[in-house]
Amino acid sequence: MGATLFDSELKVMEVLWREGTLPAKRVVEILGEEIGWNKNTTYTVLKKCVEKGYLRRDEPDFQCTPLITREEACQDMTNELIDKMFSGSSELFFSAFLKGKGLDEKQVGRLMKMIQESK
Amino acid sequence: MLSIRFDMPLWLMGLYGGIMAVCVLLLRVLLGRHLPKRVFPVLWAVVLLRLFVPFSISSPLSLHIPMLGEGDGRLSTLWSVEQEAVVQSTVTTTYLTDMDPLLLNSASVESGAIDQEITEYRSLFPVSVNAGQLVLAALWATGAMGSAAWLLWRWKRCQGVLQDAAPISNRTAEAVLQKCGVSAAVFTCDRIVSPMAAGALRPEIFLPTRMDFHNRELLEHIVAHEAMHIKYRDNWMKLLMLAALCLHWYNPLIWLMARELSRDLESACDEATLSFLEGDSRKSYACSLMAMAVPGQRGSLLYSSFSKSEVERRVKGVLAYRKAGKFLVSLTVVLALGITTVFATGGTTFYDGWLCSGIEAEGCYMLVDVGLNRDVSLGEFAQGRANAAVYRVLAESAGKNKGRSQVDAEVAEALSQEFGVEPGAFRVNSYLVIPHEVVLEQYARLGITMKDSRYYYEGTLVHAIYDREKDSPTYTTASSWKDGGVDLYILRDETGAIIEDEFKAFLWYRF
Repeated sequence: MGATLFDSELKVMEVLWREGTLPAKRVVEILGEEIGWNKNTTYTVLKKCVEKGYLRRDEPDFQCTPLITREEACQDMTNELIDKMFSGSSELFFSAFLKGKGLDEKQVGRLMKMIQESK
Repeated sequence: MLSIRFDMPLWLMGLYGGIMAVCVLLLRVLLGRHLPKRVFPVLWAVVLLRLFVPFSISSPLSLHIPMLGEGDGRLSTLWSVEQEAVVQSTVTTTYLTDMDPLLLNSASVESGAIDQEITEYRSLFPVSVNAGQLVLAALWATGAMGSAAWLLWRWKRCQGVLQDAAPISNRTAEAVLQKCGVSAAVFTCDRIVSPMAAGALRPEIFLPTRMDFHNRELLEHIVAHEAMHIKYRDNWMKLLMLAALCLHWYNPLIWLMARELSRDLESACDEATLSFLEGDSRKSYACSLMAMAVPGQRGSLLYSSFSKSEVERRVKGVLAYRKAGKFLVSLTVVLALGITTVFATGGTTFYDGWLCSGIEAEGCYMLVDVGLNRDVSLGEFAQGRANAAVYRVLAESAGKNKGRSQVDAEVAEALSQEFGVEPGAFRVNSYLVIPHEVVLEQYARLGITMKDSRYYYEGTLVHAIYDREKDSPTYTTASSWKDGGVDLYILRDETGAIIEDEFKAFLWYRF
């Protein structure tokens, strides 16, 4: 496919993978409920997905059908979209929730154990 | 007691700021685990104030750094010439004439006029600007503008990333914001991995689109955390910090501060969030931190030099959270106020460390110079008033056989009363100055006589006399005559009297 899958597109696809074919209106409702996106946002993302060939839109009611599987999408996701420059700057300009990433599994395991064992 | 000025040079502000930053870091290492975390952003705010405002507050707590007042050597030579003139005119014209208050007044006016003259002298020779200083100033300006441009460029890039963020109206998020009493628009953004609060005047919260919106607790924790950032105006502080970086770009301590400040803001924010969340949410909040540290399978995607310790430190801090009791809170407030006071008045800017010099009174064998240990505002005609106060002490001490240290203390006390500041603010130096006829009298008692301007000891022509105060090199007479046959060593106590037991005479052999 070549194109990369954005996080917001992934959110739309996740709804379709979970629920199967849905009318666009329903997708708008679900994402409005879950994330809080407004109608325009969801429609814009749906349109992008159609353009990139991730889903098909059929009349009536703009029925949306996913064209790729979750596994295919995972290969497609690139991390380069995340601006490395940006994450460097974020601690300068913004109050980020957590600035660093990149724990390996061993560290995660150790920290989770620490959390579990704390009083 | 307090004297406030607003003329501290930028580099000195940076120097003091750097020292303060190191102090805050030391405090964090020593007591960080026991104190409420909010105290550190507060102390950083004081440091930022120091880095921006050129205030200089002098109090008895101020460091004693009189050398800073001496300034340009050539200038002070000029001054001391003037000062001698002042002392002589004031002392001889008025103070010897029985301290008539009217005359005293006119003397003050006179010395005030000379003060004025000195000030004019000073403006004739302004702080000389040499080529080196110009180059330094140009270098500094280039660096400051360069830093500002670099930050602006990075800021623009960030704005570009946030451009395609989508506004959301999420019920969970809105409920949390309302409970915190914070109003902020919430967005999702594809290109960030960590939630963040952005903007100072109109704060906005950005959530990474990829985060798990099904996890309500996670969302609550994150929004509460960002709301606390907004509530405590953390982004204002960051803005100030960036400005400080531009001003003090050459100072590595300020860069260190910037890093540690961000870190402390996060810890303080975690603490505020935990106290906002109901019940004991330490474990679940720590899990939320972990969840954001490992977003799905895209865990290790970003380079970050201190990521591992950052997550671990935050998790540990969260688990160790205890609600601070009233006692600890009040103790911390007292501690913070104390540190702030010391920070505010510890270091002052340059000041003129000279007050008056060369003051004598008849019958008192001492000459007194007075300097200032700190930047005291002394009011009008300071020099004339100081001269009078010192003279009064010396005149009263005449013939009372007082030691120098006693006179020094009395002078400091008199000046303290005159100017209403603590005696420690004055640096009093006194020297023994004994009139010739008194010296001759003292010598006669030791068996030293004078004939035709030559000294004789028990009939022998004197070769040399070494006459000084014991334990002090201040009053030294070393006279020598080639054809003399005996060397005399005379030591005096601090009243000026000769210590007869320590008088020594040695025969001088000529080969």
